[in-house]
Amino acid sequence: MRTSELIGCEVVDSDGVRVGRVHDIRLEARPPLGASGDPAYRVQGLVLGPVGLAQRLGYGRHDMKGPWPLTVMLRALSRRSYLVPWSDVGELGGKQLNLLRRKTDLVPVRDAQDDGRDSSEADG
Amino acid sequence: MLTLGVMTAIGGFVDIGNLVTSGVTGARFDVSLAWAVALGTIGMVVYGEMAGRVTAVAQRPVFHVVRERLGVRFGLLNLVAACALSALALTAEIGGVALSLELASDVSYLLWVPLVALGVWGVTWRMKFQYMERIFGLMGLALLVFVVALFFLPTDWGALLSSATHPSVPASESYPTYFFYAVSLVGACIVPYQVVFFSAGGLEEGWTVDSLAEMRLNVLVGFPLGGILTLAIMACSAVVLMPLQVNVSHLGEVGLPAAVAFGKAGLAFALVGFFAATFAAAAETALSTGYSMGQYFGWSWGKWLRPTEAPRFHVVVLGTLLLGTAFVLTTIDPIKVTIVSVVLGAAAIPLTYLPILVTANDRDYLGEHVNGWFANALGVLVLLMMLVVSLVAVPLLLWTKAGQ
Amino acid sequence: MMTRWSERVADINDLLLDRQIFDADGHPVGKVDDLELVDANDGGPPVLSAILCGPMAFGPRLGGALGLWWLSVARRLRPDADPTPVRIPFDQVASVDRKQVCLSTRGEDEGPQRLRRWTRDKIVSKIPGGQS
Repeated sequence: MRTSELIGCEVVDSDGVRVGRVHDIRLEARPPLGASGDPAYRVQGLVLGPVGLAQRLGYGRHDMKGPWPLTVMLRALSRRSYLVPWSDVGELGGKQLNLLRRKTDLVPVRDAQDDGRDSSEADG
Repeated sequence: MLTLGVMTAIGGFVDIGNLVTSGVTGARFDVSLAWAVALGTIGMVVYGEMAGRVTAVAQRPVFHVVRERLGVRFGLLNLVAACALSALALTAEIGGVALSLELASDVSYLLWVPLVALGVWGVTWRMKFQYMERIFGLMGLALLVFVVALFFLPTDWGALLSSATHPSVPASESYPTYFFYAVSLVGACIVPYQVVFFSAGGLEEGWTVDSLAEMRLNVLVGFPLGGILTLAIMACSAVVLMPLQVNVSHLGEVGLPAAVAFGKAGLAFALVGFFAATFAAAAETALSTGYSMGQYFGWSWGKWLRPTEAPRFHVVVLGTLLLGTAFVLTTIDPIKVTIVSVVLGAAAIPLTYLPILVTANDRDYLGEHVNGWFANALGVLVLLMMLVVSLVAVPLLLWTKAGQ
Repeated sequence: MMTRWSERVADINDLLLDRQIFDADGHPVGKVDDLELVDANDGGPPVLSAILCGPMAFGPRLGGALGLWWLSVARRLRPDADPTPVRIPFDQVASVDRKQVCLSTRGEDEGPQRLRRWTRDKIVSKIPGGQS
């Protein structure tokens, strides 16, 4: 599948409550699959929520320094986005993605930060 | 070394848009709109420095950044707007070159148009970037005749200074028209194609992290030079044309003060300057459509590459030239096209500015060269100014019927 | 050939999508228009397998009616060609960072170069001064 098939999808939780849209896909390096020795980058989770602007501009995850009014506004917006682990993602039906959790159980993306941004190279 | 800054100033800043709007406003509003030129110049310096820094340090030109930050859809919208505006500006510039030649030769501008188009194409197709910068940058300095002329005309410096520092709307004009021209002046200073050209030009020159000082010199010398030339033309217009109540509607009238001060020699300098500025601008607008599209879609682009090495880029440039030429040949008034393109450009400016401002804060791109608090303060103030200008531009255009 | 990644955990909008792709000689190849994910068949999450590039990938990424139109134009221009987009598997990728993607391969083999070759052969070489 292509990532463009996931991004932009409407997302609905296990109760049928609308959560927002998929804005981004988080990948993480996992042990290699084949003989190549290259780590496999696999989907860790989906970043979704009502407004994607902040994610788009780069204010969701990285430490954007500023400028000041934009950081305040855009970080506030990105607080309304969630990171849903792949294990909680259910069926993709048409342009709608179903989650296996309730909206109230979702983890906001800023609380789910882990500092995967180390400068060490990701070779096995 | 300074040639990119000077050429960007001559072709980008001082193009047919500036020449016309500064001539028109000087004759109608004295120099009470000088503050708009100052705002436009400051905006362009801030914008140019940030774009130049992103280009030199991160090696990313404007439309790479636009697509990376705004994504495919908004990026495409941005691209379409930028290209459409560049094409419109190109039409105005080709008209401007042809008008300068008409003034020098008494041969109708329409007959000059095909020759001009051929000349511009020759320059964009084969002339080395550095030669282009030097030739047109130097020729454009002929516009300094307007600065010198102020000292030879019956200039009341006190009155000029007081009109500039205490702006007011003359009794014969209305407030909406006054602000329409303010917007036009800001729009004539901060044109999207100019930043695209400056940033791409930086890569054509091979800027790296070590080129920051050179880049800043270009910005701090080039754009204020453009501002000074614009103000000089406005002041000359105020001194000579306002008392005569000339309604500036032709490029020749803008050059009149130079003729009044120095006779034929003065007019000659003015025409050489007009020619250089509009020709350089025609090359810049045509190239900037190629740069924008090439950078958005990921093609090879650049004048440093021969046509066979960057075919899509060169074909887009050629195509835009043909489009602009065809449009001029419909005998549409180049001055009217100028005014509309300047105002629409003003409305579109925040679209390309915002991604640059955001990227200038990204440590992964710029490392230690990210915006400090001062650069950000200026950057945000300029953004606010651009947003205000952008919001009122089109309504004012429609309300005042383009400044009637 | 190991791919050098700048980050272990990353969002694709931040790291990969819309970045410029350069070949081993530093020539621009295209943009990362889309990415391909495949099932790993071990019950785990999908794996990133390839970069997708070119109008066939750009159209669907653009989405909506405009994207469909783009795709149909691209298909009509090359009716006999494979409708799948240009695929660059990660074993051809030398490095990935937030600013660009560098390949370990070079040359005009990639699909996005088709428009470039066509433009060069059909238009540029016909114009004076365009042959060199």
